[in-house]
Amino acid sequence: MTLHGKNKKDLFSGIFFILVSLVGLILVPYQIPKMTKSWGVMKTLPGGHKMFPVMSLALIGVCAVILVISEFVRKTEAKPKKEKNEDFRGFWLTVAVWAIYAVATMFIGYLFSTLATTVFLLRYYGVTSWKRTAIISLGTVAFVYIIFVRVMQVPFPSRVLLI
Amino acid sequence: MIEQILAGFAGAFSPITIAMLVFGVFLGGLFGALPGLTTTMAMAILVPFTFFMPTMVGIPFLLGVYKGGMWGGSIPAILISVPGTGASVATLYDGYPLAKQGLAKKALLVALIASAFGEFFSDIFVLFVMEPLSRVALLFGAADFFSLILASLLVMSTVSSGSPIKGFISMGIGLFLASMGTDPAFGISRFTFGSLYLRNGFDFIPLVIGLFAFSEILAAVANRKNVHLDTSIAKEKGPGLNRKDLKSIIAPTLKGTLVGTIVGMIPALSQPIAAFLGYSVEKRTGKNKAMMGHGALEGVAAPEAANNAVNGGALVPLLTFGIPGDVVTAILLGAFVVQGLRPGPRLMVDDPEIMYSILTTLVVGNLVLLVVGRLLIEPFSRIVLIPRNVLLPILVALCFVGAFAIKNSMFDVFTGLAFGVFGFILKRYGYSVPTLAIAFLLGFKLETYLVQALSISHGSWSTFVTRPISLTLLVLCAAVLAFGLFTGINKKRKHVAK
Repeated sequence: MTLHGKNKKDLFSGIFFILVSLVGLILVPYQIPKMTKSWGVMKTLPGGHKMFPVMSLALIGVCAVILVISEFVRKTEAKPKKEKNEDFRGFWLTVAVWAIYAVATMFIGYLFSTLATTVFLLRYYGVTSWKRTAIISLGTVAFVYIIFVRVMQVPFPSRVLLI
Repeated sequence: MIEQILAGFAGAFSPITIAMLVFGVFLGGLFGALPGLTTTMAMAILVPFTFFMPTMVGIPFLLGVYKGGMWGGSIPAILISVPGTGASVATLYDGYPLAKQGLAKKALLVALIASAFGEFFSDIFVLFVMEPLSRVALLFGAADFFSLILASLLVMSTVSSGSPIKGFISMGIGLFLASMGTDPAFGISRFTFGSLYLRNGFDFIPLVIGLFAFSEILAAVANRKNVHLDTSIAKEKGPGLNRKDLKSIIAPTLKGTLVGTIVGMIPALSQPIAAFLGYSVEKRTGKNKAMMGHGALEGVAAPEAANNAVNGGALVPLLTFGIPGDVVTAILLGAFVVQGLRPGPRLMVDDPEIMYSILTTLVVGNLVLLVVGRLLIEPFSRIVLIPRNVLLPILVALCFVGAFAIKNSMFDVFTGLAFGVFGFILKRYGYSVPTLAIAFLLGFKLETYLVQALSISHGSWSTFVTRPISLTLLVLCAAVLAFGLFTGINKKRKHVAK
C-alpha cells in the first residue's frame, strides 16, 4: 500500500492522535492516583475519577482510528495543489520571537522586552520607517503601562529600572 | 417581570453603562473593521480588561464589543471585498458590487441599520422569553443536563468543521484538556505531571487567547494574506439613503432577524450560517430577487440583520442552560464566571436583577450601536486601509498582557503561546478549534453532571434513559453521531468519485 494520492494531512494527524490517545491511556495509572479508601460517592462510582479522562482519550483514539482507516481504504486521487504564498520561515521566526519574549520578560521585565519585541516584529513584518517604528512601539508600551500597570495595578515582572 | 425590566432599563441608561457600551462598540467595531481581526479575537484580548471592573461595567463593555464586532465586519466586506469576520462573508455578495457602483455609503448605512434593528428585535424577544424558558430549564436534572451538553457538543462537532470525525476528535481533545487538574467530584489531581501550575488545570482565557488570537496572528504571518488589497473603491462613498431605500430594507431586515434569532438559539449554528441562511431566504422570497448578487440593498440588509440577531438568540441557551452557542458566547460565559455569575437555570431565580440588567443593556446597546456606528462609519472606512504589519506586533503585546493579567502568572503566557501554535496546526489540518474551546469550557460541567447523575442513581447508567428529557436528547446524540460518522466516511468516497 502506498501513500501516493492519499490525504497526508488526515493520515498523519490521525496517526498523531492515535499516539496521543495511547500515550494518554498508558499514563492514566501514573497520572491519576488510585483512591485508597472508598466512601460516600466513591462507593457508588469506583474509579469514577478516572472515567472522564479515559472516555475523552478513548473518543480521540477511536475517531482517529476511523479517520486513518477511512483514508487508507478510499481510492487514491490526483495530487492536491500545493498552497502558494506561504511563509513558514516567518511563522517559525515569530514563534521563536514569542518564546524569547516570554523568557526575556522574566529577566529584563515586561516593558523593556515588549519594546524590543515590538520593534523587532515591526521591522521584520516590513515597517521600513524608523520614525514610525519608534512611535508605534513606544505608543504600545505606554498604552500597556498606563492601562495595566497604573490603572489596573497588574504587577508585571519588573527588573530593569524597576519598571 | 415588568417592574424588573423597567428597573433594568433604568440601570442600562446610566451614564457608566452607556459609556462602556460606547467604548465596547468602538473597540469591537475597530476589530471587526480591520481585515483579519475577528470578534472572537477582540473578545479574547479584551476580556481580561473586565476582570478589574464591577459586573455591570465589565459585562456591558463586552456586550458592546460583541455588537460592534459583528457590525464592524461588514465595513471591509463592503469596501474592499475582504470580510472582517466570517459572519460578513454573505454581506460582500451585494455590498461590494454596491461599492463598485459608487454606492458604498448606502451599503454601509444599510449594514448598520439592519445590524442594529436585527439585534434589537432579537433582544426584545429574548427579554420576554427568558423567564418562561428558565422555568423549563429548572425541570432539568443532572442526567438531563449531561445529555443536553453532550448533544450540543456533538451537534457542534458535526457541523463546525468539514469532517465530523475531526470534529469529534476536537471535542475529545477539549474534554481531555478540561479533565486535567483537580477532578470536580473527588478532588484528586489528574494529569498534572507533578506541576503545581496544573493543579487547577488550564485557565480558559489564556487558552482562548492562544487558540483565537495568537493562532490568527501566526496564520496571518504564514499566509501573508491581505497584504496587497485593492483599496481604490474604499475612497468613493457616494450618496446616502433615501426613503425608498429605507422602505426596501424593512422586509429583508425582519426576515433576517427571524432567521438569526432561531439560528442563534441552536447551539453550534453560528453567525456565518445565519447570515447565509438570511441571504438565501431573501434571495428566494424577496421582491428584488433579480438584482441579488449584483448590488441589491436587500442583499446587505438580510445577512447583516441575521448575523446580528444571532447575538440575542445565542444568549437563550447561554443564560438559561449555561451552554454557549459559539466561541464568542463561550468567552462571554467565561467572563460571567469570573464576575461571580453562574449562567444557568438558577440565574433567573437567584439573580433576576442581574439577568434583567444584562438583557436590557443588550437592548439599549443597539441604540448605542446605531448612534456610535453612524459616527464611526467614516473613520472606520479609513481604518480598513491600515496595513496589518503595523497591527500584528501591537496585538502580540496585548495578547501577552491579556494572558498574564488573569492570574499575574507567566505560566498563563506560556499556555497561551503553546495553544497558539497548537491552534494554528489544528486549523491547518482541518480540525475545529471552536469545538475544542467549547468542549474545554463545558467539560467540567459535563463531568460534574455525569458524576451527579450516577451518584443519585447509585451508579446505575439507566438514569440516562429512564428520564424522558435525557432519553430524547440521547436519541438525538445517537442520530447526530451516526449521521456524523456516516457522512464523514461517505464524503470521502464522494470526493474521490467526483
